[in-house]
Amino acid sequence: MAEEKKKMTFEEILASLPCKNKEVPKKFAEIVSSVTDENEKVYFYVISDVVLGSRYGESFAAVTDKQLVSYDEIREEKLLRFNLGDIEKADVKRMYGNALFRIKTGGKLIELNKCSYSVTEYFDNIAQYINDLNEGKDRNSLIEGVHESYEKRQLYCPKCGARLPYKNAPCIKCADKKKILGRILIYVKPHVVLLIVALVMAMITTVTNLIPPLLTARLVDQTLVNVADLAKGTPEMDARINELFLIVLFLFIINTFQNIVGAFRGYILRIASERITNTLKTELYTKAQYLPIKYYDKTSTGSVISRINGDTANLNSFIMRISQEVLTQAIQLVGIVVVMVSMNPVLSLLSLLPIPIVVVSAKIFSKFIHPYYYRIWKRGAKINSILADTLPGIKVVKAFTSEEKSIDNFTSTNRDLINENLKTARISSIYNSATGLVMMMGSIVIWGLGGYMVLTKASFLGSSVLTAGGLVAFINYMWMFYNPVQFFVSLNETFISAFTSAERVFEILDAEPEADFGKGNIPEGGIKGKIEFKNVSFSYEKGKKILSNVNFVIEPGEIVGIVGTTGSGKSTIVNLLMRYYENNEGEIYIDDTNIKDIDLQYYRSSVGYVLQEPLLFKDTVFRNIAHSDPTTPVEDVIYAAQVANAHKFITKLPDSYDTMLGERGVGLSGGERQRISIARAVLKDPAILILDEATASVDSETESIIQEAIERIINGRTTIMIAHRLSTLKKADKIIVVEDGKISEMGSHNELMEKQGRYYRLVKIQSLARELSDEGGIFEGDGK
Amino acid sequence: MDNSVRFFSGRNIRITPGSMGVFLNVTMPDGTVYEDVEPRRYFPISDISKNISIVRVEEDERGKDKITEYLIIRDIANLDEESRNALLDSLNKYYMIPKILDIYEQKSVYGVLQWKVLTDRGEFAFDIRDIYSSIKQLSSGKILIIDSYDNRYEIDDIDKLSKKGRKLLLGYL
Repeated sequence: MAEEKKKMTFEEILASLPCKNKEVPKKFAEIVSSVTDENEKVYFYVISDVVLGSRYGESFAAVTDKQLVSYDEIREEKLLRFNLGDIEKADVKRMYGNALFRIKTGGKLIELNKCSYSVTEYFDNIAQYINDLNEGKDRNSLIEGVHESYEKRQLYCPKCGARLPYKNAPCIKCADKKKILGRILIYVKPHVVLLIVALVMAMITTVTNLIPPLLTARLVDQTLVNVADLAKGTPEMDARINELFLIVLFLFIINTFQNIVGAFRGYILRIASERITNTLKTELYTKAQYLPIKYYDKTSTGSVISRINGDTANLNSFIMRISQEVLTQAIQLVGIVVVMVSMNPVLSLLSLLPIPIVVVSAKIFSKFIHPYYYRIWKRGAKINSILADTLPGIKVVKAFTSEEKSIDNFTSTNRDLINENLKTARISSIYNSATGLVMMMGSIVIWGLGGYMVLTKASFLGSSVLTAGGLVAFINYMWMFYNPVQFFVSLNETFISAFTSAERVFEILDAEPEADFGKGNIPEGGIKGKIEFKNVSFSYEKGKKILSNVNFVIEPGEIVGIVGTTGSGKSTIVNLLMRYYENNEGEIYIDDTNIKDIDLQYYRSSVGYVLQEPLLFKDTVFRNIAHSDPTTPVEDVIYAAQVANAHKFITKLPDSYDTMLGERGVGLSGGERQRISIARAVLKDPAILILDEATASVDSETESIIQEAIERIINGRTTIMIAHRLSTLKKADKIIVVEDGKISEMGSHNELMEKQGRYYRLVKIQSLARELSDEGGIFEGDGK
Repeated sequence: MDNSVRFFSGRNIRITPGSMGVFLNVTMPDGTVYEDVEPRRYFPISDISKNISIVRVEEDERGKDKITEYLIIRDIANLDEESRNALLDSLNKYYMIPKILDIYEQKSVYGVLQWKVLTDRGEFAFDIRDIYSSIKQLSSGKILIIDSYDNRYEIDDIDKLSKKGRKLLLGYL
């Protein structure tokens, strides 16, 4: 569980310096203090894990307020120092599995430290710091930035110093177990009555479980004993027969009672369990919907899915075990021990003999068998991936006649899986038989000694004389005794596994959701569509600016094209406009209101966004178009489809608007999928429409169909079109050319062509390419 | 327009160390010299001694790497000894794929597999988060391990590991 951290003030940051990626060895600290003067402050340390000879070993770089100090034992001149102001440039050259921290000074490149990828980002930070500082940027905010980056990468628990399993992971050692347990129990609270009822039932069945062996003892010792001396029809024989039926009836009642109670309990537990899992899953899924995009930048969707499915199930099973099993198993354990000791303390002690062997071997076995199960899982996962690749990709398999190769691959992996399964089964069988044998030996010893005690009527340590029935009952109890023992042996592992799952689940639940400072603030008369970027700068990661000082105004109803090479920052402008990221510098205004002050849901519902790769859901065509509101009137959906040039092809599908689309929109071409997503945007009737490379993945013919649809829908709306094919932007009122995160040109098509700048060059290159393509030249045409 | 890079067997090419680090000076059979160029492997995992590209890495006006490729040497074995040593030394500096000689310790902590190993470059500790995709057995029989920071390690021959190391590794293959 991520503990909430208070943001440090700059004074606190300054006091906490130097930043370091790991504990600074005393020797390194002494080297630095020997070359710094009294008032010199050390800001950052990077302790590297590789030395210049490409071997593992420690070296370091340190940045003070005046100089950069680098030390490497392998280098001829071990210690190097440079005044920060003399460094022309610092950088990190990424190689393969390692990187070099270098500086350029006096026109000469100097290699300072080598590191593995584990440390590279720290060198990036100090290189950036030195460069930014020499560019005249504010030292304090630079220190703050580096400090933040170091903190984010914390691999050691700041509290106890224990190594964390991954960056910023919560420390399991320091986590307050009671607090976590308390949070888990919150999910139990609404179902506490059900769980108490189930617990009472469990306790009743546990107690009644102890009765049958006592009855069988009586049966052996009194009812069925010395029957040869009894004549048929005598009153004593009749009494014996009555007692036999009574005991049998009692056994029948107890067993029936136990089964009925067991069935009810099972059902009650299922209700509680399903409800708890449902609550957990729903809470997680709901939270996942409102997490900002930046959360998904750092966490894979697969990991979120596994938390929603796997970890909630794990937590649920833990809740069930804790709320039910702990108490019932404890009652059973105590009950059995009390009965056994009261029956015969000596045999009780002897029956404990196999326990240490069973407990220790169970521990060893679980460790030993774990890799085997992992191998089975890995092979199972491989089979799944073969299926996931080859079945949906069956067209490619057939086209390249690789059916036999696929079958061979599948067969050999499957054979591998079977072999691993059999190997594991062999080991498990041996283990189960061996532990069974140990326990059986215990019972054989009890049979031997107990039998001797029965025959000789011997008693030890003041125990009462053992009867044959007592011995049978005792051995029954002994077998029952092993269950709770096994349970408590594995309890610790259950706790650890559940706490890990809880941490993972709570990490999502505690994550900061998307900020919506303008909640409830809906502009009067709706959004008109004026967009203004004022001195907007943005970086996904501190230190790497993607947009710098971007300024533009788009009037309502204007059609604006954004042009630029890959990585220039076009999509980042859209990301900011969609409010996927909000931690930008500068301001963005919509109709002269700060974008952050408008209700987020309302704002997004006023923006239509058509992506290059349309995402269709596993649902009908109708519901895919009416995605934001499935109750939309049919007329509106059909109208939207007509506007998007999608209606005709939809009606040609056998199930028309009821056609079920698969996860990949099976059966539809790229252009058809795009037209459905355009219809979805049309239905929203957005004030602002963003078309992000909407026609980039389709052929020329389809492009013109989509283009026609686009021209129909952009009328009267503020439209932002991102396009590589500049021909699609001819109708734009304004074209913004983005280069390296800055706006390099802005104007109408004609203005920019006259200017003969970047846009002009791009247009010329594309026209030349088209001409060559038309002549059958070397360029690939658009799907031709 | 012919942008294809020329392949050379390696014979008659002279390679000497460049001004620093990974840099090399390459003299072509026709006498052309490429100074301070760098080598790159086309197959850094499956065939490390063949198809070595010789490139120049410069910074373009936007501060990004601009790579110019001059030639490809088909096989290091064809170079004369001095050139081969210079090239191998540079490749060893650029490519760091330590060979794991033994596995001392391996434990799973909350889904993260922590390793302590002995490599040909010294002892090292690393973590693996995604066990499934991070340990790969290549068709050559080699094992490739990628840690949570994308550092790579190789095991040439499982049988050369100690019994304990082999046992620890086999559990994840």
